[in-house]
Amino acid sequence: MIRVAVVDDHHAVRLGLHTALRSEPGLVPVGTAAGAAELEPLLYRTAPDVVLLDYYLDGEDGLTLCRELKSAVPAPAVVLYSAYADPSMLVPAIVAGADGVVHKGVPALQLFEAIRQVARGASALPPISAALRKAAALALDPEDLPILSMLIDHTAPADIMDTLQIERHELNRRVQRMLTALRPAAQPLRLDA
Amino acid sequence: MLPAMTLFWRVVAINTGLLLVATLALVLSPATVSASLTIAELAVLAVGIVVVTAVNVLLLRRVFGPLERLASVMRRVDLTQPGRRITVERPVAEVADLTRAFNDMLDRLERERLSSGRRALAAQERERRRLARELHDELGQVLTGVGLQLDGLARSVPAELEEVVGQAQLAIRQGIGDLREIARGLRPGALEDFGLRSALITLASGVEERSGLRVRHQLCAETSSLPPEQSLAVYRIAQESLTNAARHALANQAELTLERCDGRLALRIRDDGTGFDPRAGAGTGLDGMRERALLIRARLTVAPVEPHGTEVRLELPLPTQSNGATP
Repeated sequence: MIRVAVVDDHHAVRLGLHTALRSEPGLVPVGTAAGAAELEPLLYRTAPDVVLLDYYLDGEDGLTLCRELKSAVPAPAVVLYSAYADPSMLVPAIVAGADGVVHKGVPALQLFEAIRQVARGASALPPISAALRKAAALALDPEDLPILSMLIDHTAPADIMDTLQIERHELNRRVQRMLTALRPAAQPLRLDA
Repeated sequence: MLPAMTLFWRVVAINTGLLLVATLALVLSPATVSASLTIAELAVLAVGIVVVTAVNVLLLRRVFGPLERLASVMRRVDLTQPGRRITVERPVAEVADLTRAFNDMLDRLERERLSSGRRALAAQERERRRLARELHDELGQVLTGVGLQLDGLARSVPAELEEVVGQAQLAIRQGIGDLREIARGLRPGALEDFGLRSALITLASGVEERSGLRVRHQLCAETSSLPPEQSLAVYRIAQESLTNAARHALANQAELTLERCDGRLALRIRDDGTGFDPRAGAGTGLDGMRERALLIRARLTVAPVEPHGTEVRLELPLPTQSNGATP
């Protein structure tokens, strides 16, 4: 039984996801939230296994929320659900700690599969092309490149801290810096799949 | 004639001259006018008046000739072909003045036309962007939500309703696809992110997918030096031409070429459709294409090709600093 919480600022999407998740054996929608404020009590009350999180929340930032979710102990698995199929948002999603990224255009079954994967502890991230990696590297401080590589290779934060001989707060600071540098334009405008 | 003299003084001079000649003729000739006018005297006077008037008309016509020429040149000025200025041969001072004033006015008109055209196009692009965003972020999300609901519903409906729900699922998928297509057409995202060449490739494959028109493309590599305004114009003209080929000309194949030669960039779209009626400007977006070409100072030609089809050609000067980098 995988318990799923949904965060999306569109009522229709919350409703649709709730109905779809309820129809899938093995998945249980535990509640929906329109944003961070509504999510907090929901997390506390239901402790979901997976949070299905809108990449672009109205007035908020899905990536920041994702990072907050992933820094909790124990952290739920997070699938970023995006209306834009822009590959350039993949790297920021990984840096923010997302376990999966799913485009809103895919059939429900594909979404369920991704939820099952991240619930098992696997990742549901599309592969990162060399061009994408290069573009991200150009935007980052060279000092942070090892962290990027390790994050892309799904290295656990504890191992990253070990490898680089840094404390948690230092890792957090640098991840935040990377996110700021990689943040997609304030307005997501990509429409091309 | 005295070239430096103004029109006004020429008229005065001609009339004074004629008056002098007539007076001299009266003084020097044996002709007299008695107190009671005789028929013969009347005839002489009438002939005199006719001659003086005729000479006056001939001379004045010569003097006003440049004005008439100026007027006819003014009438032929075509604002869709900017940069042309009028000249009048053998101008008198007033005509030279008028010509200068008129040319200045053309300058101002063209500047104003250019800037208002730019403003209009910028507003149009902004509006398209807003529409694309609203479609995608609002309506698109609602459709996605309803689609998910149907997906969930489909698994628990009684057998006799399965078909209906299945049809609704299909319809909503189609709707989401259409909406995405419309949003993509409204806002060429690839152009801003990956440049003209990539955007044209995306455009070609998009048109192929939607309309069945086969689009072969041959695009030169480096177009990054093109300013955004020009890239956008080239992209929109290619988009319009391909849409015309698929929709109005019922073409099967089209060729999309972008090449650079002698510091110029040339876009060519050639199709094998039913050809093009130049009078059908409004529906085919030809006016819009001309306007865009005009604003980036490019030359647009639309011509039929043998045995049937249309070729749209757009030529624009490339920014000078990129010429050195041309292979």
